[in-house]
Amino acid sequence: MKNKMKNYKLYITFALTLALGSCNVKQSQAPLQEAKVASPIASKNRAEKILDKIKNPTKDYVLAVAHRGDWRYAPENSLLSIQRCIDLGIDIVELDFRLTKDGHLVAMHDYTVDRTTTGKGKVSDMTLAEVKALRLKSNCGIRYSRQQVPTLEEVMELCKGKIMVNLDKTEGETVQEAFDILKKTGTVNQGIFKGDDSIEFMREKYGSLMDSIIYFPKVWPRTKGKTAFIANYNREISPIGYEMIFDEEECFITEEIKRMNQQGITVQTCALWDDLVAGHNDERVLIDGPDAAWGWLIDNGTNALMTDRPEELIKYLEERGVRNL
Amino acid sequence: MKPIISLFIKIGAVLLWSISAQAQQKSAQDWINILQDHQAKEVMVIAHRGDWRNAPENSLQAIENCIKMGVAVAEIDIQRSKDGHFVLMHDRTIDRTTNGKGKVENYTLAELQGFYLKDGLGVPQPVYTIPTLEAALKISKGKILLNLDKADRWLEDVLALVDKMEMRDHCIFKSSKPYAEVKAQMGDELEKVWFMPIVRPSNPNVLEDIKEYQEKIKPVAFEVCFPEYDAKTQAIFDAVKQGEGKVWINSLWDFLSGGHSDERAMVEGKDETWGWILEQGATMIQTDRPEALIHYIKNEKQNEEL
Repeated sequence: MKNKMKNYKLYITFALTLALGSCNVKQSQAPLQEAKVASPIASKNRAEKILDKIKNPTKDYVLAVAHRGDWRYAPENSLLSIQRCIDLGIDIVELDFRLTKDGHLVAMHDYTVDRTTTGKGKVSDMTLAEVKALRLKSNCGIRYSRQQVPTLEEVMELCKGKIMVNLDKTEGETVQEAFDILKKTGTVNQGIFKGDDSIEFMREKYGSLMDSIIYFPKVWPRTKGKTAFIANYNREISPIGYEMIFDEEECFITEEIKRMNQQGITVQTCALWDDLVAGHNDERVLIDGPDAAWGWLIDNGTNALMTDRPEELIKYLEERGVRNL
Repeated sequence: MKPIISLFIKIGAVLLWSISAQAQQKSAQDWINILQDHQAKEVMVIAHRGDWRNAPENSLQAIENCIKMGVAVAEIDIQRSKDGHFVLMHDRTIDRTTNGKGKVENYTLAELQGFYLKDGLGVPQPVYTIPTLEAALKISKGKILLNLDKADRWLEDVLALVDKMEMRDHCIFKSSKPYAEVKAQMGDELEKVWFMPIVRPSNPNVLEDIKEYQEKIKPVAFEVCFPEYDAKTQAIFDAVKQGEGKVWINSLWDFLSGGHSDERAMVEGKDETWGWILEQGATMIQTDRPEALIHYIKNEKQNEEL
């Protein structure tokens, strides 16, 4: 009986949602058409609109960040997994890049190609031609796919105007090489660099290049002298975003997130594993529902949310009404 | 007055919709009936290692996901622990899929259950542990059929467990060996389980082998693996269908289905691949993309025929 009552309530809610939903559509149609004609924003491509949101984070838009592409759909760091993110409407795709023996940046997470391809050995010991001869494996290592390891250049050509790219593993090592490719492909405004190193270290190594790139410093519980680390970055290059990692709900980092929210700096968090977000991670979504994990992160200041479940995250963000670009 | 009426109409519509949605969700018994009916048009989708994209391969969650998607058969792999328990695991070692190392047979069940299964990035996820076959049978009962791979090594003991759970009709066994060899191995059990021979055009005696199977046990289906589609493959399809059996095709990789693979379906087009497989009259398809295949069959293919 109780169940029946519950079902009944559910149906009413459904019906109401349907009724309300149809009203909303009618109301929103007119302004949308107007915007198309009048607003200068309409002339911006999607990547530029996303960058605007990173520069000016607002409560009505949470940026969806996909870790290593949609690797459930296609091999991690493959063009197919990136295309899938573009199709899903993801804002930032996080990918990893390493340098081959002959100086090409290729998308590869590990130092070696062992886990993700049909080959063996270190990327740094192989030429681009050797890497290209390999085939990427499906995730879980279940045989091979037809996909090759893409270069950074191929990735940026695919992403141009469509999606931002978070360039991981370049930190403190291949920032210059990566920047050269961004320049060549006309995508300097689409690459987000990240790193653990202090601004002093980065300045010494890269000088004024640090003023020409989008850079998110990463702050960990283990980061030394956090207050000075952040203050020095803010003074030197005023980063438009930070990646914040915390293993407790209340700590220096979560306090710092609140301050960044007030200052209009984008806060990126990573729901990949529990010790990056004090337990509010993707797997928690399966167990306790999205509000307990992704919802908590958004309520506590996240502007850009990195996930291993991009399709589900987009659905959730749409339901929350925080996807109005 | 008017809005209230329209509200009732909407409630009614939602009720109808939810009832029809429930009717579409098939039970294990529905699938068993379809399995036995060689003329049934319903396509049975078999998910290779469960839904390994959204949960670790051979995990309980991977089977649960299959049930929700409307998969007919979850293909799972069996290994045996040191103390004789059956667990789900593809490899003989736990190296690739867990945070542990070593052979399954060198660990007790309690030890095995202390490890975590890895997700698709190779990261161990504490919420997933190695399931026992018993747990997998329990969550599948009444909901989904299981293809027990690698079970032939301990067939008697596996069947004892399956019988204890009263789930013999849920379980599918397969082998590439000809009838005489399988009969010698399985004895009387061969006629008492769902058994499907795996056949290949590379075998010069394949048509005779099929005929022998049909005469002796009349299998409900044959799995056909073919690197290229040719006249001999066509002859196999015809022989299976004439013998009132279903054709099972694997779209996992190009070399199993003459190039009509899942990946080609996603990249180049579904009609040329999954559509082609359906045109050959296959009604059982094993895939690594169960969600996309079911969507294709329901929305693009079945509507054409019905």
